[in-house]
Amino acid sequence: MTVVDLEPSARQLGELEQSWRESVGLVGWLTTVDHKRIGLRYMVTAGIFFLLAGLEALALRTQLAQPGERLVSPETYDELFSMHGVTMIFLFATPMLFGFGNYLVPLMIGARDMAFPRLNALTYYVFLASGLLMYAGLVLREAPNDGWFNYAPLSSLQYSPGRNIDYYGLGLIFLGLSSSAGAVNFIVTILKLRAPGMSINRLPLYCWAILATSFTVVFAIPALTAANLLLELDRLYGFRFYDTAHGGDPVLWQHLFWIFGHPDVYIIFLPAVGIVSAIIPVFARRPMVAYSWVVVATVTTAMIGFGVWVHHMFAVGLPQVSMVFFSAASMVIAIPSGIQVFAWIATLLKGRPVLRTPLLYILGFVAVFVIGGLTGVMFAVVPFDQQVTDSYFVVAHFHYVLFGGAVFPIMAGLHYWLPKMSGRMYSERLGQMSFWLVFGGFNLTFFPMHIAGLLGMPRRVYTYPARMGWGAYNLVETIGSYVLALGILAIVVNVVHAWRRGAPAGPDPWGGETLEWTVDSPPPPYNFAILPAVRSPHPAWDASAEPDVPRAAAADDRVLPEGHRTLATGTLAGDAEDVIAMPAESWWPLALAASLLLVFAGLLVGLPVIAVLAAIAALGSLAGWHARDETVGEL
Amino acid sequence: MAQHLVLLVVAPPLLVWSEPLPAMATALPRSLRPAAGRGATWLAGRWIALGTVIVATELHVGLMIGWHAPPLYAAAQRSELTHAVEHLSFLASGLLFWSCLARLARRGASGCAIALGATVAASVQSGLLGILMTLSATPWYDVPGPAPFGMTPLADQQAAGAEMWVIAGGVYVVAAAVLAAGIVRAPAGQAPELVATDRHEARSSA
Repeated sequence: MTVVDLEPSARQLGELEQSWRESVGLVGWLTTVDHKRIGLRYMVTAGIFFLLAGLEALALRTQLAQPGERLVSPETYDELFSMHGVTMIFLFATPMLFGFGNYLVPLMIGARDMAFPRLNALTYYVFLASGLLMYAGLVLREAPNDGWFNYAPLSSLQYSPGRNIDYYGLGLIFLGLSSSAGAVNFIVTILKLRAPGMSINRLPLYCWAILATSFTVVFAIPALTAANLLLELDRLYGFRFYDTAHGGDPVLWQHLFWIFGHPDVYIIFLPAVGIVSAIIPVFARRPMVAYSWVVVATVTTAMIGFGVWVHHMFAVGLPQVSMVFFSAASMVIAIPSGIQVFAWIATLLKGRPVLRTPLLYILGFVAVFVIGGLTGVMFAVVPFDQQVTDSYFVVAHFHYVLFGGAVFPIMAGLHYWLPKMSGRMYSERLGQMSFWLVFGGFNLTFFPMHIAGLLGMPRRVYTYPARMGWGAYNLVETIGSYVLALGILAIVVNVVHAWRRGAPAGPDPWGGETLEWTVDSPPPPYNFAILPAVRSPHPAWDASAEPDVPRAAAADDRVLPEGHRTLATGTLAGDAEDVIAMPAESWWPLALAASLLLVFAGLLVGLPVIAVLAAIAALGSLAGWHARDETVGEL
Repeated sequence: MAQHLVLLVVAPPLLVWSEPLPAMATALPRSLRPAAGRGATWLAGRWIALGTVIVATELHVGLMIGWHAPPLYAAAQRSELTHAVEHLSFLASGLLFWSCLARLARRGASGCAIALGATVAASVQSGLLGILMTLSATPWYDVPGPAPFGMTPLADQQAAGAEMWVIAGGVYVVAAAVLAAGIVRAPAGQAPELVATDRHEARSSA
């Protein structure tokens, strides 16, 4: 087949500019539906929450630096470690990865926006509002204080009077709306808006990861919402779901929470792994080894994640006979994880790796994650789990898994896609320095926790007596946490500096594999002037393999210059099916999110009148949202 | 429970996988073979409607859950005939479900995708029964005689539930992995068929 490079005419470019232009200034800022602006917003907001949670962690570590320290009171310590966990899990990890997905998925699959652009704006505003709601608690000194998994009956009104827990319960129900809607948006976008020719088996592995994650979110979040709904009914309206005295059962909370909680590990881990699978082939200079095995591993990981929540509850007193089955099931998850790790290593071995900052972070990820995975397999052994549960060994394990499994890939992705998002290059020197600070600081902080845990140090204690002999380990951990913080600071400086005065990066500084590298950096509002056609899993490499192809004028049906339109394609085969009109900027998502915030704030402060009025306003916003829209052209 | 698992998720997929129909047909009287062959070809050639898949899936898990309702379970224990009907319905619905999956799996990426959806649906619903049996604090059934391995009736039930949850779940996960592989291993699409003008442009400029 003759390959022809199409180019848009000046008229077509002008019309595209015209139809995809958004308002400028504050109005444009508040009403935008551009997935790139929303994605960046997600990432900046989640980044700020990351820094806040990091500061909370530094306070915790400073308090624990030596025995008998009196920097913070036990009550403050409880609030700090609870908010650290809640923020990192709910307000940093998932939204940060959703931010990457928002920015990258349409670019990678050759679409002009997410499938539901206004819903996309709504999910961001709801995420922001629920984060502000939960942090209002910290400012007012009534933040959640029962840990990130908030076990009943400690979280019941009887043992936790005050509003602290309500910030948690209502905040997470609110945030659940954002995650679920965002996941639905990803599913439809990936299944329906791929470029023609991108059959499902040419879908970039990163998008496979986002797809599997989104299905996991859709099925996992309802359990969390149900758990919190029952909790708030108990707390606000005197129900008795978790109260044994009236026939309730606190173990119900644990089941519901971990039915969500274990898949949530994969909600965080899978997209991070997707980043790894996006970066490794580019820096190894060859296609990913065993594409289909990695896809199958991704899908089965998501599925197995739902079957093994009981291993978080080995110490709860569940039926003994059943434990052996769950123990075996928990070990099975090592198989798909192992497949992926070996596929990455094989890709690096068979390629010619170029060691730049993104790849450094990926290598750090592999090392740290394998250690975390090994302690994870140890936990699947019931007697060992019962020995070390609720000790610092657990703290060490899940930081190796989550910091190793999510933060390292996120930092790799940040350096990798920064040139695309900003159009500018970061400093490689500072980047590599930040990696060694983060990697060294991380291991210095969290490795000694394994030992402290085996020596019996329980988690969530605000201090400890000197005679326990844990002092030296804790001092090393605290020093490590400051080194780690210095590394994070170096990353922030590097990113901010690059964004403001970095060297211009050009459209494709890395020799990228996927479609986002075929457009300008930063991409224009319509992403692709000519809707791309895909002939392999490596569309950007195909283009560079044929440098001197003849150029021809693109017809209008490859450009769709008028009226905010994009192509819809078949779910699996990826044939062009339809041209669809995309909605433009709107105030309704902001209005709906603001009314929902008032609903939850009204419930929180105990003024149901406000909640009811705000709910009516929310319904009104929905009506306005769905009213006939003149800006969407007829087809 | 182990016996049920064999009838529900072990024997049917293996039977379907081994494609025994041609071999079984040779056991038929010579005069009937062509008719049987035509019938089988007709059956295998038919497109499976989405409705058929849903009915097969729900029969498979519905019977599995239904027969474990305490009154039906007790009835099966009282009468050998009911017991036989129970096992026959397990095997028949299992064969229907797994043969649906097998036929779908031969129909490229879209067939595999539908079959994957059915597998996930079946695993969630059968898992629910396993979960409830494992976590229930009271025995549901009045089983005569001592439980094996000196377990209490409750422990016996919990072990049964865990087997159902984890082992049956494991079979579904393996099936899901095979089907997911079917989706990605399906032959890659042709060079994209775009719009007519594009091909025209390509030819004219070449």
